[in-house]
Amino acid sequence: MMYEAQRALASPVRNPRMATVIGRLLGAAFLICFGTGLYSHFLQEPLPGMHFATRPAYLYQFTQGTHIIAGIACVPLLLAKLYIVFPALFAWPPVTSFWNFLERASIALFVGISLVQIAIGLLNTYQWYPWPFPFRQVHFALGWVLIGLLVIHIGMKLPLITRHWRKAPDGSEPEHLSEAASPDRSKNLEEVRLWGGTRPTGLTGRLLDYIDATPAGPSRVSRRGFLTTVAVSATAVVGLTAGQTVAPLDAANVFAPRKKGVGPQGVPVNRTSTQAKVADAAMDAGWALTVVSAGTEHTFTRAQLLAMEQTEVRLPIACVEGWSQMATWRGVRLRDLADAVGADAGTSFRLISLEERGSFSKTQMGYEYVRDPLTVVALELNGETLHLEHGYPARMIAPGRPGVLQTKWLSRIEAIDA
Amino acid sequence: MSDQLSTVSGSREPEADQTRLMRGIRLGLIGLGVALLAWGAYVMLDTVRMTRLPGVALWIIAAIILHDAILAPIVFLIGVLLRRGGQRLGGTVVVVIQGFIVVGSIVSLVVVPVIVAINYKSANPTILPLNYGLNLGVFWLVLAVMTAGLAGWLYSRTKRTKERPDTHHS
Repeated sequence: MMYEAQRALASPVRNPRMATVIGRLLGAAFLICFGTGLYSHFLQEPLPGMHFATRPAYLYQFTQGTHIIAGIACVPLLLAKLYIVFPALFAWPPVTSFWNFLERASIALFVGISLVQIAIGLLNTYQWYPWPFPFRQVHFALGWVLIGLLVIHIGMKLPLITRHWRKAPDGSEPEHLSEAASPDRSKNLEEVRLWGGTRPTGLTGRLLDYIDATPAGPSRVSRRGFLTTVAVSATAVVGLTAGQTVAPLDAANVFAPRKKGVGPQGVPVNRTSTQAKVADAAMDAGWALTVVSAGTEHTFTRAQLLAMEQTEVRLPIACVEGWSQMATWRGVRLRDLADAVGADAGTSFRLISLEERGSFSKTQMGYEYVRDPLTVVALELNGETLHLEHGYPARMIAPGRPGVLQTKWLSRIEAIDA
Repeated sequence: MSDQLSTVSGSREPEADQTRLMRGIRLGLIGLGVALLAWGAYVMLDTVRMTRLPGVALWIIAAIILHDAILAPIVFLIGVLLRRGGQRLGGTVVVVIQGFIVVGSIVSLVVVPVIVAINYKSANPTILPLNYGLNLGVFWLVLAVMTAGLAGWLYSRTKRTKERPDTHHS
């Protein structure tokens, strides 16, 4: 029966060459997601002594946009890869050795985690969390597990991969995957002993006859059609969503969870003042920004901040969820405030929001960002007083940082005295 | 162990192919992979509460079942029925129609969750701001028109070829 299943599933596109072609694209996408994911993780939770590049200013917009684009491209690529290797599920006997058991178990885990990782990553960009576990921690841990399984998988399949890395030079028809796993099965006497000489009868037999009588598509057309379909699918899902971060594709953005220019003052919002429960504190006339370093403490009212030297910067707000929006910000350079309390050039700061709950209400900023001339405590956005939803009375904006670290509704900025 | 490894992926190279180098690289990769896997498992145990782990396992198992037992058989059945139903149309046209269904389904797979998620969205008018249902409908329509055009052109071309007996082959 398993043999019949493999036979019925045989198709011109289900061969090791095709598995290699799609597999290396999918593998590359996984590595890109892992690399950009790690970068984003360490920006948010730097290990001691870690410092980051502040240029180009769109660095994070680029890496995180790439993370989401590659993740979305994985949807058609992963399904294509699974389609190609599906007959291998019916390999018989199911386990030939202890090593074979480990390999099949690792592949099952690999498939399951790949599907989960892509699904929860996608749904996170919709801010929809229908699962019973925390997204950030699980997505991060599964990232490591997935890359481990990918490396194991490459190790296991390396002879197959190297053999099919290049197209067969003689232009011969690629062998079917099931044959590669077990050559000349049908001619094998052992097969006949195992399966008997006759096929299943009854309903199963009739079903198999029906499938057998179905004409197979022409091989070359099927293979080209398959590759074209995968390419068109990937182009469609990426092309119709990437406009949420890639400006030239904005007009084609019909499916992304964000749209450039949609939001107060033309900028989307990740967390609203209502969600953060800060509206009252932020609109309080007695608000002042406190800046602290080594016992020196200064408070600045909004009027005092506006009276200081103002700097205008063009910086994108780039969210972990993959969207970004270029904007013009105006306010006081952070390094001027740091100088005002006598902090030296090597001092990193802690940024504290009026928001009392929320995992990013207190964040850290390395000195490389503090000292950067583009890092500004913004008081205006796109020529208007900063909107409450964008962090009124004052917010942080720095080059190359994730949106969650661009602290809104600033309350206190204190030196981390190491 | 190395002998066992060579049988792992059911490979059937002659002995000469299995050089020491290849074995070394494979063992190295598998070792590295196991280390990364173990680190990921440690990170998971370290950062996610024990009570949440069954949920993670459930999702992974459900994903395997959803793909292997539901999605893949449906795709297979549609393929058989299409090839059956499309016998008169010719292989190329069937492949184009298959492509139409696959492209439309994959885009829907990405977009339908958005349409569901709108029901759960927070009071943030800047997230999910588009009319996704309408856009998806228009997408299917445009895709159908393009497919029909391509299939029609291919069909008429095949028919013309068949009508000329000299050039007819198989």
